[in-house]
Amino acid sequence: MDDLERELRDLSAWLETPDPPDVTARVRVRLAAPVRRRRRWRYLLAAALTAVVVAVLPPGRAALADAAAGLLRFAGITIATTPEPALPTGAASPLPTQRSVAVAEAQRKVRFPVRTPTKLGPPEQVLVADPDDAGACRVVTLLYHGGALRIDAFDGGLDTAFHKQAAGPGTTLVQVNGGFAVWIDAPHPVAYVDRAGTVRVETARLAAATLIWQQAGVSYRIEGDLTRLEAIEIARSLS
Amino acid sequence: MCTSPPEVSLNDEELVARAGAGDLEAYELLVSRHTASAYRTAVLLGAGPDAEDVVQEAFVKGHRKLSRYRGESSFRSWLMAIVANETRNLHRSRSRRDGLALRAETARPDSEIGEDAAVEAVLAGERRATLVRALRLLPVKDREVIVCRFFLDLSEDETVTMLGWPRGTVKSRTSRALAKLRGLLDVAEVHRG
Repeated sequence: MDDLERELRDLSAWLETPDPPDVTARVRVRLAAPVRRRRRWRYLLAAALTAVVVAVLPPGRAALADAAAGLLRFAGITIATTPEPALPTGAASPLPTQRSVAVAEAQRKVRFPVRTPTKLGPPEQVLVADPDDAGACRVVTLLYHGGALRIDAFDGGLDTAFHKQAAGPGTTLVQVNGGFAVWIDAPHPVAYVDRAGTVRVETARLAAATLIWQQAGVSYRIEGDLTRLEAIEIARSLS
Repeated sequence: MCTSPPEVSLNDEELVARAGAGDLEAYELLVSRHTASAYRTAVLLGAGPDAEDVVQEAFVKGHRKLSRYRGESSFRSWLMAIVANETRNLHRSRSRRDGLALRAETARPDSEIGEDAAVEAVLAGERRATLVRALRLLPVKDREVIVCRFFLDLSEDETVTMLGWPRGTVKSRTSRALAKLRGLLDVAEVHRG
């Protein structure tokens, strides 16, 4: 063995490796859901989301007020951390004045650039919602896989647009392109917050795992039956 | 989960057999046993802040592929090959690649060691930094083989399994990578004067 080889072996001890994480629990969760059942769950979820099911936070603002203690505001989305999120029941309404348009028209309807992830290609359907008096819409939604995978984009400079509830441990800070992002790995209730700042309880529905991030002043949320790594890869491919 | 001593004493092959028969707890023991080396492997191969995701993904895929593991190599080498592959997939999906990071010097020159020893420690630190800079300049495949052979201290056989290359390629790539590294270090020395 020559000097350089010895030096390299010696260098090994000087290389920084952070303490290894404990992945056992997360691996267990993913293995406990057999592939076949996961698929079926995905179709159920797809059906649920295209039919736009689910809704209504509990009457009164009690649940929201309680949750305010653990409120995380990020990229135009508030995430209320509650040990037991109130699950919406009944059918959710679509976002205010939501309608289906072609990509090119969607771009004319909003004041920010509409970008699609190269990883997924062109969306199956594009929705715009909540226009102001001048007709400029606030939210663009790209739908894939029959609606099982969706990307919502809205102007990050605006006020809060979505309100989520999540149980604490399922919410983690991750990175997308060097910026902070929030990953919620479990289904959770989500509702639209309109321009006046009112939570539109009629839009509340159960959302799948979601990644939230901001890029070039635009806020994004991607939702679907995805692993954290898959979601981050899609987010990175936005162009 | 309680890990009773008899369980712990099972070797990898026995655990793999149990896990293959559907025993999730046996697989969990394999996961906790190999997390640290899988994580170090991912970090050294350049997974950076995504190392944790890479490791998680590798364990999930490992479980799905378990029926295809025939025991030609140790379970550990087989698993590390999956980790290496996941790390490569990560590189494909992003342009930025995280380099190796050097631990901060722990031995500070102080009154207890003489001036000569202090100077030597500083020089050794500089040399390590130069070496890391040179490694960062190497092509990915050259760096992969250096990481396997010298940082992870794998044998040639293990490196063959890990990187999925023929033995001859591992041999020739190792000597070529070392030669390139020597070249880079010579240039660095000249620049320092």
